[in-house]
Amino acid sequence: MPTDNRRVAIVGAHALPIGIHSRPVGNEPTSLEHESLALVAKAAIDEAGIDHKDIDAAIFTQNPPTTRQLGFGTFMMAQLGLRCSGLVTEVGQLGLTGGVAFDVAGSQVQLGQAQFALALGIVRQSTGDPAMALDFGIRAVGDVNFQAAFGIPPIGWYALDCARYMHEHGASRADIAQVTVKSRDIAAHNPLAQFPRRTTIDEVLAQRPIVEPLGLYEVPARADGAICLVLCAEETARELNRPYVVVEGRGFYHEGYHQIADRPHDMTAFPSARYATDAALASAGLDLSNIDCFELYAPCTITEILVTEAIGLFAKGEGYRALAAGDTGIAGRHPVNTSGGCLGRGHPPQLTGLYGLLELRDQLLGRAGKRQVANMQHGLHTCELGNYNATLAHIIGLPQ
Amino acid sequence: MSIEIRTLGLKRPLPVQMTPVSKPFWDGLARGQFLLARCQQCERLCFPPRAMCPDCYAQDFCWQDASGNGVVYSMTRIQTSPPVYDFLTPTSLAVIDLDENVRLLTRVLPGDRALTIGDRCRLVITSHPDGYFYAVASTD
Repeated sequence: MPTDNRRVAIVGAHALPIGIHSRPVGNEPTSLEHESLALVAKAAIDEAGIDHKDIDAAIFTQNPPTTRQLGFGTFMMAQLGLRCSGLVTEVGQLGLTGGVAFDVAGSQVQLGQAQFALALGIVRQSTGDPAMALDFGIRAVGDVNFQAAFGIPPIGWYALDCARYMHEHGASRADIAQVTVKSRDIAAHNPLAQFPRRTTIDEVLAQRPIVEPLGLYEVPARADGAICLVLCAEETARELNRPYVVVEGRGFYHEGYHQIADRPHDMTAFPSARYATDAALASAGLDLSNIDCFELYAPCTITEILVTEAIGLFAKGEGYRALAAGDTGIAGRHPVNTSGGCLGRGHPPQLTGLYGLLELRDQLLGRAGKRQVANMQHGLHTCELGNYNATLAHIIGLPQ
Repeated sequence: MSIEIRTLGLKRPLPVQMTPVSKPFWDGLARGQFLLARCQQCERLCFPPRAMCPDCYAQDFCWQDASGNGVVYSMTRIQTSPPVYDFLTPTSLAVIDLDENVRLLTRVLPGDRALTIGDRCRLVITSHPDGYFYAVASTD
């Protein structure tokens, strides 16, 4: 979304804790996706202090392929009783999905198409067929004739990153797995977290291998979630007289590869993360030293380390040492994933971008409890697709 | 240049979608050849075969016989797969850089000795009841 005219504000939000939402009783589910999301959207609209008749646009995250109800976005409009003259649609592209829903909803506000726009969605991985979900994942992240045919799942690509990084920089599996320990330490203080129980490095390393060198606790678990953010122009937010945060900057870059290029390149460099972050900082008139908190899309342990290096927080090969030194902890020089990230808070993939943006809002408004970063002014969010072949970055800040 | 063809008893997990663009590659496997598409205009090598060159947008390609030799860039071992891939798991996968400066993902030939990153390696063509595919093996 352009950021040089109307600034977009987040004026309301609500999310369900990430976990397993519908445990069937006998053969009957305890709730369906549209039933849950309706109540989440109501809570977000109530927090904004507006009426649902004021909403002009609703951008839904595309549901997973395991969702039984198709046409979910338009079906959901009937559940919410919305009559919109702005855009109503589902958007989705792998891990970018949540960020894209936010981006499009914000654009509706900036273009004057909507006074209030929703960015919302629900994911129920727990009730879908896991084989179907995995097959979809494999075909989404690889050429179906020349890569997917070998059965590599999305996390397999991150495993390839991890093995190469360990080879190049001498990091051990334990060095990388410390991301999980940090994530769950933080998640213990996040009421939205799927894994609020602390763990130890020995426990992480003792788990069964999934995509070597990564084991069970180093990759994301199946997760359910539901979330809704309410957006409007900053001048509108000011009139509501409620706490809000604003979108200060935005950047995007696609490097033109799908997972790997057919010419050798540094697979662990994630250049799109650097270019998108630089563009977001430039549009906000900030530099990296101004950012107080980082919510970085990182489904696996290694991903967090690589993104911290890619965006320029640490030199190449130094990210795991910075992690060990506590630099990315809540009280560190550069707090990273203060929500607990994908391995602590949890990872309902299509929604992870929206949950990351919610964390930045809560940090900026001083609502993060024991996870609170001191003196929050600006936060950076990234989400991505493929092997960070593309990155969408937003900078969220307090109103001046 | 002839690359070893190894017979495996199992079908490929996914049927190959063969088109005029890719058919010469798949036909080459049956002859023991691993063919790379070379753009006639800018000389760029492409793998997999493409409808047009992503650099110069030319649509004329010739075929270059790869040596099949290369280096292991990275590796993983996959422990979980959907049923359609089950016969493959657990399986080791490798990203390899061919000597022709082309990178690709493939499977480590079942039963091959353990490869590690930085090892020299060679492509092996695998023959299945439903056609041909390829894997990587040690050079020993």
